[in-house]
Amino acid sequence: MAAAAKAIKFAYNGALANNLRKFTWNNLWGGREYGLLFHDTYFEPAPEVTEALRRLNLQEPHLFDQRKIRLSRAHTLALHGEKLPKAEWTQYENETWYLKPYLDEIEAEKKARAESSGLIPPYQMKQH
Amino acid sequence: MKTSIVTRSAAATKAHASKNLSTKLSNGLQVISKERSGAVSQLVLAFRAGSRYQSDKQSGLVHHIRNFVGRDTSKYPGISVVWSSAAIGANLTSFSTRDVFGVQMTVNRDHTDTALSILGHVASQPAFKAWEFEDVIPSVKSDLAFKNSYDYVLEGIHSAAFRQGSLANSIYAKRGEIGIYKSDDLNGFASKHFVSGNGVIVGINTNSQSLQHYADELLPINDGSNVVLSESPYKGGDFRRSGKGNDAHIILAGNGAAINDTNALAVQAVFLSHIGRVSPLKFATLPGLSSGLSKLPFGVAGSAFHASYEQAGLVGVYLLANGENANAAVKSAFNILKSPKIEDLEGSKRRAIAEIETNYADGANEAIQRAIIALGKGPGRNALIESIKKVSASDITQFAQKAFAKPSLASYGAISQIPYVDEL
Repeated sequence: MAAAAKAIKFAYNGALANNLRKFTWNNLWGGREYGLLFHDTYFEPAPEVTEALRRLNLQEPHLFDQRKIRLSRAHTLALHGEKLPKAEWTQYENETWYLKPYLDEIEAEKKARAESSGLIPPYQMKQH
Repeated sequence: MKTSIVTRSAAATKAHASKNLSTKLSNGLQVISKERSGAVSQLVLAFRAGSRYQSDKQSGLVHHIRNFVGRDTSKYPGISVVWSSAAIGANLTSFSTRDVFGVQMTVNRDHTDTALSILGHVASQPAFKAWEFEDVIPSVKSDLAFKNSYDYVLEGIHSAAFRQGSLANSIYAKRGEIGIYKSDDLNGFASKHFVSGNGVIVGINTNSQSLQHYADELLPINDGSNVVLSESPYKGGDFRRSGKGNDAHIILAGNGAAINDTNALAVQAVFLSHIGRVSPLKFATLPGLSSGLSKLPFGVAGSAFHASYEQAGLVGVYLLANGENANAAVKSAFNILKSPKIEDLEGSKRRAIAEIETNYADGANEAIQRAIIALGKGPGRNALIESIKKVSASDITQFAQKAFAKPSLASYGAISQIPYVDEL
């Protein structure tokens, strides 16, 4: 399971950055007691994230479904004012930053667009 | 992408007499370079990945792959690929036949190196991203909308002649097959076929050293061996498709020469030049008075037709008749094909050679032709011409007897009067 997290490359990968990441994930983010992964709580209405989720659904529908189930369970818990028992909280070792590859690709595409035609991508165009 | 050997200006075409090249690398990739002293380079990277390699459940797959060219590759987004090729003034096209799939770039000679680097990624590392299907599928639909009558009979003659064999697979997807393939299907096909042992890189008007250097060290192609061919022998049969209007488009064909059989190709070439092709002149419809097709009924236009693949081929005529004279046209064409009465053998041979030489002088599709011939292990121009010179009249009569022993007939349009093949 740690292998899934290890496959993701962050911009800062030193010891300090990794420790800081682990500390913030454990203490400053509130998702683990609801059984969520970090990218479950990413700001969905942002165009890049919406597009990344659309691509996740198309390419890895299984992961998209699992995300949906985690969110549904978390929302039910929050609705009742409950949290999971400590043993069932998400562990840092099981964290997969599953949207990162898609987000990176979208950023690369934005850069490529800016360097070439300069047109904005379709998912950023205003929906009428 | 610059190498240490770069041709910088048009003056270089006069200064550097670039050698012709035809080798096979250690990973199995064939490299072909030909110097034509032209200003435009034609670059082709092609694989034995045509529609004949589709399995029964993959009908229409190569059409989707063909239309995916220009989209994301594994390393570069599609936008960058297309924009950079436009920036150097290159044309990027994909093509596929039943045997071969490839990508061609034509570019001003000065930018060959950049074009090669783009070509390598586009042809051998397509990514087939799942979210690009919705952009590609409308292009497949529009390909079908632009099919004309000749395309219908061309696909039909293959399905008639090869029946359930793999050569009967159409290069087009059927309407109901559009969009049924997913990323994994395309990636599976690509990983099997877009490998070095299965491919050829052709450069016309490029510096052969830089082409070889690129193919040796810089081409991002996966290693792999060539794909084994499944046999698809000629069988013979009918294909009929009715259509509106009074025109009848007909292809009457027989068992032709395979692409690697030089002698048979030579005999077939002389046979077809006797049969006659429609004149390239603007208001001339019929081939010459001494040609085979001059014996067709009045009002019927005809032109010789052939298609050569690995291990099989088709040879015959394409007729354009109308609803009334279609019957007479087909019967007369069959007699012309089966028993050709060649009055002027030397003339036919010379016309066949002239056709090959004119084709060579034209050069517009030379890179694609060389790629197809290299992948099919076909003969070069000179070998074919030498073989043509040795053709005798008895060769041709034997060829015609054998080819049309079991003919195939494909028709589209006003087909009510067209006979079936067993009535001929």
